[in-house]
Amino acid sequence: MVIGLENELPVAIDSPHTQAQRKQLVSSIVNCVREVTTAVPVQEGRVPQLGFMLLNGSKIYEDSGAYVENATPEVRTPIEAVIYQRANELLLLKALQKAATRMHIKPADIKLVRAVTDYAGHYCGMHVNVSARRYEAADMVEHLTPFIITRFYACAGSIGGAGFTMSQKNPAIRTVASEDTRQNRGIINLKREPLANATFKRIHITHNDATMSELSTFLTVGCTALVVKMLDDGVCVGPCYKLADPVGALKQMDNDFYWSELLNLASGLRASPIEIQEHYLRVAEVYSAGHDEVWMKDVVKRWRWVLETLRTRGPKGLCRELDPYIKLRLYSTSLRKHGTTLKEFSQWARPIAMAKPCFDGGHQRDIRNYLKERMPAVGFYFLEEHISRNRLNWCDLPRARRLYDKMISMDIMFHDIREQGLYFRLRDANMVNSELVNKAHLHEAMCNPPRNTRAYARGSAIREAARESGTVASWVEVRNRNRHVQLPDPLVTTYIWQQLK
Amino acid sequence: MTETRAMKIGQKELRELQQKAIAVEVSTATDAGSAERRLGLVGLYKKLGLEAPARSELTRMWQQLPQDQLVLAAMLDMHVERKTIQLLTPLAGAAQRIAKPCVALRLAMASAHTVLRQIDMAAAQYAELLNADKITLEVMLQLAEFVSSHPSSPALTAASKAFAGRKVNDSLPALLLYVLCRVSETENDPDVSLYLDRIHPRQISQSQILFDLARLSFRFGKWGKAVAAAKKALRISPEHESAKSLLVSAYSFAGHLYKAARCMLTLSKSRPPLSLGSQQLTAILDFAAKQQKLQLVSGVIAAKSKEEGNYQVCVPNSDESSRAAIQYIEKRGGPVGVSVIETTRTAVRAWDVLLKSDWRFPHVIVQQLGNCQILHAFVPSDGPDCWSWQEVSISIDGRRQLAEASKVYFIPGAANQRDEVGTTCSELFKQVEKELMSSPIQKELQ
Repeated sequence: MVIGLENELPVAIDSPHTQAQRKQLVSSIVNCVREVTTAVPVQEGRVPQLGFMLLNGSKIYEDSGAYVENATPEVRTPIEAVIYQRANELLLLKALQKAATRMHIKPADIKLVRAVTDYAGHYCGMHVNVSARRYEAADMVEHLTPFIITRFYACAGSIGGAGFTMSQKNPAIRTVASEDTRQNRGIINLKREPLANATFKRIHITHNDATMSELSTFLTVGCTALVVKMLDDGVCVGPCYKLADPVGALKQMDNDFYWSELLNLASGLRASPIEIQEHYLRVAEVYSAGHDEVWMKDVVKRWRWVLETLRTRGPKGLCRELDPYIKLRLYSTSLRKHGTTLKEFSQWARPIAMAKPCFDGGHQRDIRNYLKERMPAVGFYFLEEHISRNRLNWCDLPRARRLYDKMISMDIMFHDIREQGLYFRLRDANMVNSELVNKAHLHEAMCNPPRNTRAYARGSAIREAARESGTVASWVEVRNRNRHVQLPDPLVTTYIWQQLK
Repeated sequence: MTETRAMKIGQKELRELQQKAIAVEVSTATDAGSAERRLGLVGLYKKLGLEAPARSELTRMWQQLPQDQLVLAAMLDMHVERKTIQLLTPLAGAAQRIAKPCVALRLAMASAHTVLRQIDMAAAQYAELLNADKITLEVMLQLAEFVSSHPSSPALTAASKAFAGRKVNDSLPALLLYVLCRVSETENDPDVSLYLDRIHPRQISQSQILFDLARLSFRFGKWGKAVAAAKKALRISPEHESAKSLLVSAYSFAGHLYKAARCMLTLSKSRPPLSLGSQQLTAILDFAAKQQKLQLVSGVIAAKSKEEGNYQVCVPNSDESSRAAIQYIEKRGGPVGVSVIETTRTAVRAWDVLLKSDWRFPHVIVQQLGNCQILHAFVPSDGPDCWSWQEVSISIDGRRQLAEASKVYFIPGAANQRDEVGTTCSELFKQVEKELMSSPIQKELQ
């Protein structure tokens, strides 16, 4: 089995800037990657792309929408995916320094964020790719859906119109299965793009939050890879927990930090998300017991631990391990310092989201009339209705708005991949306990490909040919004017240069 | 839908089914290649009302085990059920390539060929199945259904060959006897009667086969058996029009005229059974008239009129019938006669007869036309010679529409004129409306 992880990283600039400057910065960061490691330009087919295939087998490129996309090389275990994800980020941070200098922006003002929202209404993605031999994603929709949406460890926690919620990606989901990743996003992505020969299928799981906790990312990748592998081997798991309304369930679960609120099943019964996860885990435990692969055993062990902890100790038990619960503790503490609670903050979140386009949080003597004049009548009606129903005070709105902005800034800071990022500061302060990889792993991964997939062949070929003019690469090929290497099988680590006529 | 299902089979049972499904899902983690276990799981999903997951899992199984006969049979059955011809064709082709198909696969192939209208190939599969030493009830059941829907097919020949030399005795299952009947019927074999005597409708539970049995019994003069079979077929499929029709005939030939008349009015279009001759129909009519069942009378009149194209011939004892009908109306205390008929032409003829038989009351004929009804009102003005009829399209589902329709209807000269009984046209319509809504008519029709 081959695993890959893709991250689209939004870029935030603290100093005043234009959209064009931001876009230029993204391009510049990607361009500078070549200066910090050996890399050759990407060329998929005949279409050149702004990006590079790196010495370590990864691909870093500028994605549409001005995001930096970080795609790990093909790996065989989830922990390797976590290692290469962070290793590439370290390379990107080096590139960012160079790009910032070149563009005369203070590096400290730039945030490269591992998140699936930029809090400006745009969603990007963290995609887990798992190879399959037998089945396409379309064959697994019924089996995968209950699992995918109940992965609490794949949630990152978010600030939005409903206050603090479990997932960042949930509001972007429109349907159960879809090929579209921009508008009609589905829980299961049906894209058929194997990036390998016909014997491989690529299951492209797009419904993930980008988590900072290494344990979260490890479980997201590991559990997903394990379940896909089981399904590909013919194990049947999941349909008996088919949900009556999967998209509705996402909304329902968003405010359920205990993962215990009952969801309606298609059979007419009800089950809690944690019960659904336990079922998948039970099957995975039986399955992994019959297999020798160490990573599977590691995954089920940690999976069991987080499930048991959530069930027995609730969110508190995971407040040092998983993103949403780390944030829950952090944000609750922060709000308490501001004299409010998470519950009160959540009550304000909706009116703030409604009034946001007309109100920047500045001081207003009569905020009610101020908004009445500026907001559409219907919007104002609902805003007033919400405020009176929840017995909120109009004069608290500006303060709540400022607090809301602060929380969003805090959330962006949490996802900042620099060592100054909030998550890493918490780690250094020993307030989180989710680290799985060490610096030696990362240094190794920054300039060496994994040895057991075609990434090794690609990395080695790039090392050889990087200095030759016109060398380009893609997932399946390294080529220049004189010779090329074909890499159709993701598991073949050797390569042969073939002369081009 | 799910709630309905939960209500239908009960939460407790549903939960038990889910627990079973969960246990089987866990067991697939150790043996994912076990087709039987996974097929069992598919069955459980279906019981849980999870049709889409059942289909999905079956498709996955087939992708994994394309040569497995049971899986292939299940796939064929699924697409037969869903009538997905595009997929059925390659699947049937794949099944044909399997050297020694098991019974389940042969049965599935036979069904698939039937749906694909490859009747010869379906018959060949049945012939193979019948050659087996032990014929299962499932095989016979499916064969019987096949034979009943394709009476002139080569399947009969195949079945005939298979049954050649088989001794008939009481231990033979009813379905097998039924197949024998069908075979013999096609071959004009007088043994049909012999087989029929040994089948009792209570041994059969498929409405189509029961109906066919009733048809055979009727054909061979076994009225009692025809009645029993048709009644049971109707218990299973209450809307089976042909079975109702056959029951009318069987009742009338068995001498149960009242029952025949009652049953006839349950036919959605009051169409007389083709097997019912003029004599039987007239007998039913007279009987219904004597019973003072106006609705029966008008229903039979309409039916007969439809059949023979001449209303008058179906009122041979018109005086007596009409008198009975008039008495019936008078007993009900209303001056308005209402008949339910099928065609406008019949309506006109109906008025002819009513006039000739000295019918002096305003009469309304309601013509059933799908969900709509056309009201033919016959309104007296200055005397019998001046009576005229009009038609107004109305909907029967509300009083308001009827009242509005009545406004449309009234023609100058006819409106507000009093008839001999002293009822104005608008009152007449109100009464008609009342009649229709308070529904002795509707009840009788049902």
